[in-house]
Amino acid sequence: MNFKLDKEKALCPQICEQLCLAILMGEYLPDEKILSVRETALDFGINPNTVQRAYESLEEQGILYSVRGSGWYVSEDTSIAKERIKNTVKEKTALYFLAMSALGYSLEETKNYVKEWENE
Amino acid sequence: MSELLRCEGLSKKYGSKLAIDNLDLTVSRGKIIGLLGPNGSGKTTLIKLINGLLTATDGEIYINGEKPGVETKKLVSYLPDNIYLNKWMRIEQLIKFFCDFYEDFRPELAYEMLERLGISPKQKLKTLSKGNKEKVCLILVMSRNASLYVLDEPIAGVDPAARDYVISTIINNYNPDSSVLISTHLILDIEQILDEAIFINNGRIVLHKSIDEIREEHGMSVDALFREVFKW
Amino acid sequence: MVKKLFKHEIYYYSRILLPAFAVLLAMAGLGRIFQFTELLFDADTMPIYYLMFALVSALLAFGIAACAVLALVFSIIRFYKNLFSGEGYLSFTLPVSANQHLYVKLITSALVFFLVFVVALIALCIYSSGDMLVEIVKTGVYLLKFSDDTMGWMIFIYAITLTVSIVYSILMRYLCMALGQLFNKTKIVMAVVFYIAHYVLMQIVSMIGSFVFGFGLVGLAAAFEKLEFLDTLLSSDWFAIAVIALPAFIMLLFCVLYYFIIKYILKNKLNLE
Repeated sequence: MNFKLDKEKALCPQICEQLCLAILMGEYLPDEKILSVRETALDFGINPNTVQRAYESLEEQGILYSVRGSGWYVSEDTSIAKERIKNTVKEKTALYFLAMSALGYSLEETKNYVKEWENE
Repeated sequence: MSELLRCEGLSKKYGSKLAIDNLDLTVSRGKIIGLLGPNGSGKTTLIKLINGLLTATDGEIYINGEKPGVETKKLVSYLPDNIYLNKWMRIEQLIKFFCDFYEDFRPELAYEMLERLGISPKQKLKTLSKGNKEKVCLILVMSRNASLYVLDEPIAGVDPAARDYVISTIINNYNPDSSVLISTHLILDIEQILDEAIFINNGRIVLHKSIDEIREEHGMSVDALFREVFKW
Repeated sequence: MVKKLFKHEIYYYSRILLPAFAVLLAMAGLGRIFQFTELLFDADTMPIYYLMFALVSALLAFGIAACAVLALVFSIIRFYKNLFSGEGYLSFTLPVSANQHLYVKLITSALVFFLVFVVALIALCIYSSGDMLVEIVKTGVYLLKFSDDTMGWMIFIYAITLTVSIVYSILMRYLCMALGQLFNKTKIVMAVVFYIAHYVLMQIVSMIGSFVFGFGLVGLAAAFEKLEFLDTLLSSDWFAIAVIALPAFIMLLFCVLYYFIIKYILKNKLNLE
């Protein structure tokens, strides 16, 4: 995992997001062991307690499970992780279109801009 | 007992100047805490009081329920803001010295960390570069299995690579039973490893909150809040 | 823990003093060889020979003085550097009490002075092929054998006085440094100031003390019209012993006083600014 965190925002949800993304991209397979709390903390250069909390919240959501004395694993059912990312994508898209409409662009115009951007 | 360090009405006077002014503070276990403040705000004085290198004019300090003394020195691992080790000693002699006096010292860990840095234990401290001297000091301090690590300005005056080294060493040696108190005025570099931030100014605590609280309540990073609090 | 403190303290001194002692003993041995070979060949024809011999002898004398100075200088440096400079950050964060730091340093330093004395004696014995030692022992035995029973006491009291004065002088310097470190920016200057002030004060006190003691004695005797008692007292050996023992006893009292002041400062007034 190799990504930058936004220091201006809370770190815990960002870790959750990144992990879900890694699962969605197939970097982690179901029942695969993921990096330990310490390793992830070292990777990001962040507080181990933050990572611990991120893992725990993902466990609550059913995205990860922990085995005592062994570590953390990806749940067999990865659909929840996918769902979570889908929600994020929806949210971001909505935010984008909302921002564009606030600037006075219609939906069609905005779509054209997206296509234009894609071609560049 | 989750309370590790408690200061009650702590004051320290130098002549007529109050370096620490009626300060109350509680630190619990399993936390990495930033002691943040501008130069001359009382950070180093507070740290020296915790380590018994200075004696308080007023008030009390309790570490694991005891006042600074022989018993608390077994629990606290301290990195001063200057190089404080005998420069004529070889690193392996320093390691033996730490082994002799600190029961919680883990020499194998120290040797492992030195090896990873490519520093030979046979070298004398004075032959090392300034950056490596500081790293050796940090290695010795972090190789103890202490309850409280007190690091005074561990990242001041070191290059970014060394800064990353300091940060990863702290993370690597973190354990849930001990706390790390890091003083610095360079918040941006350290804030992502903190659980809590203590802002100190003129010997008083201006703010003591968890990082999440700061981000949620103030909607900004610790660094941004620091700049706002200490705006001239 | 105390054992470890001693270990590191001894290691510190041995780094400097062992080579110095080795040089000293080598000088003595060299001097001995010169004296020995003098008999083997006609040295008179070689002025360089006598020059070398004189040089080695002078160096030996100088070396003994240098070792004593070294012991003094390093006793001061060790105490100040190890406790009140950057190293103090480590010393005072070891799980060791101020009292332990103090007595380990005091005992080691006193032993070092004693050791310098012993090594110097050994060097001189080597240099003089043991003649000197034989003479010293002979004189000692003679004194013990043929003098009255107070002589043993005299020697004993001199030995005690010597020991106490070594300890006293160490503690006095420690005290000055401990007081000096209370001042933030002028620790060393203030230590020197305290040393001078202490020296002057002690001179005055001892002058007044002996004045009062002497005149007090005569005055008392005169007041009670018992001058003949004074005569017997002054001519008695036991009085002489008491006069020698008194300063040692007073010094011992000062040692105890200084020790507790230093301990108090290290424990309660440490100022590693």
